[in-house]
Amino acid sequence: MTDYGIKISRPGYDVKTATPPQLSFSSKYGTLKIQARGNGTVNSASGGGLATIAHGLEYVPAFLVHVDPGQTGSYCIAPYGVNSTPLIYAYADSTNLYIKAVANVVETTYYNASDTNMWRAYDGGFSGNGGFAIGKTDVKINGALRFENIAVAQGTTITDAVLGVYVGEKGAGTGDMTYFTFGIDEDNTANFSSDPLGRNKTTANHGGSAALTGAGGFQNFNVTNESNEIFARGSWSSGNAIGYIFNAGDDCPAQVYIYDDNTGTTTNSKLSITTTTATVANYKYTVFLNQIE
Amino acid sequence: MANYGIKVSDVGYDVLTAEDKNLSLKTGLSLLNVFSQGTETGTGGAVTVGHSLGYEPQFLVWIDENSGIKDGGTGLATGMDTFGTAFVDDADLNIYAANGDNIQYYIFYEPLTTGTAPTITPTNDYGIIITKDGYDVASANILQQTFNSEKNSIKIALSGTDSDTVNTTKNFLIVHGLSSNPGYLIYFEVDNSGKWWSENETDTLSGKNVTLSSWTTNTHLVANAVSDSSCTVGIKYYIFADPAI
Repeated sequence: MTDYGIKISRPGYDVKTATPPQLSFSSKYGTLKIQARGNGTVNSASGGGLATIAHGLEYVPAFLVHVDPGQTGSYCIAPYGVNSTPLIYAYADSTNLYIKAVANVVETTYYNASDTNMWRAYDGGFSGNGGFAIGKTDVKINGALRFENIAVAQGTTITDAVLGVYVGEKGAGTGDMTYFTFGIDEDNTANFSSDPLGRNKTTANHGGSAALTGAGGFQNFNVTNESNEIFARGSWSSGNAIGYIFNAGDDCPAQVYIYDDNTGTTTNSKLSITTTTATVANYKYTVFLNQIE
Repeated sequence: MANYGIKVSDVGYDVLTAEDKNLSLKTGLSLLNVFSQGTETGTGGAVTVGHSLGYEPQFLVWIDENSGIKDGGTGLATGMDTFGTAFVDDADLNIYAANGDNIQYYIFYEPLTTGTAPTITPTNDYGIIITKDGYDVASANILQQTFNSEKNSIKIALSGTDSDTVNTTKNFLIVHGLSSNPGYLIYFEVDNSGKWWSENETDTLSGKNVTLSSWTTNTHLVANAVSDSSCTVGIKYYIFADPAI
């Protein structure tokens, strides 16, 4: 060290021989100097999820932001995230300190791998589980799919639900398939050991036409509204099973259909549910006099 | 400034003209005076360090996630991961680290926010005490003091900047010249935007999706920048004389 200046050792340490960690102060070193502190709440669903705090320093200061994401009185240093996805973060410029909260968007996929979770019925002909089909051969085909252990709490409004039907076989006809989708309006629909097509249907439905994906791909159907109607049922609870009924349109062209025969472990029809949960957190910030830029 | 008191400038600055940001000590400033510091070992769950301050104090925690490797990476604990996280409340500092990870913590007297905090009476009747503005040195409690020679304070050994092009990933290597893994704070900026982020953040404003993680070894501060596309990343670092491990 230089032979001028001031240094003060911590109790128990000889100032002449103390190492830097053993000093409480040395004029050789800078210090972190607090300029301002404050607190507030940030909510991803309000005001763009952004808290803006003017610091008045006209340069970019060093800062620390502590956040309490559970609003339990326990604070960590930002950023805060879940599964390495940042939900609360902080940055500063020469005017402001910013604290931003973003909603927690989680997509969960459920797979249909059981014969008794699939049903197809050919008008006037075969019906049974072990496979799913929708569309028309020479006759209309109706079907149903069921998914188990759905981890959505009662009353939750999900952002999105997409049912991806694996196309094991595609009909050779031309034109778009016409169809309707409904949810099975039950708290915890049973498996398809018997015909499910007569079960109560949700009011919410989708109807329309779709250009079909080729064999080996997935044909996607939006079932968000149907799913939300089921999750809103008073006796729905997380972990229950959910089901969907597909009806072919009367005007569906012949030989326009898709079929999933439930073979293979990587080609199961799937239900992808996206939930969006607002991030709300208390924060406490510290702005230092120390200049970044 | 008043014509009494004490001030000490940072190296390279004239004490007579230095702004407050370039002073290491001045009557009235709020420094981070250490209430307690120590080391712990991760358990795979929460390691609890009681502080009994009755308010949420400022803190810094560094965690060495390369267990058993003396000069392994030591990063600042933020809220980003299940392990490598530290939370403070009005009674405890809870640190979440993998089993065997080395932990260094500093708990400061200064609370996270101003407001009423209990009186904490210093115990020393010797040494140097400098109070904040408006407080009698004979009666000031620890939170009313700028400096107390009985207490450690976080000391900035060196600070600086660096900048470089990052195509997908780049390590900034800063030689610190200290005898052990030092504590540090680091901030980064993308494409000279004027917006500075702290470590473990992802810059979501530039469109380049830049994330900076960092750690110290016994020779370097390492800052790893990862981006989706080519950009300029600037860093500002403070390396402390106080160890992270």
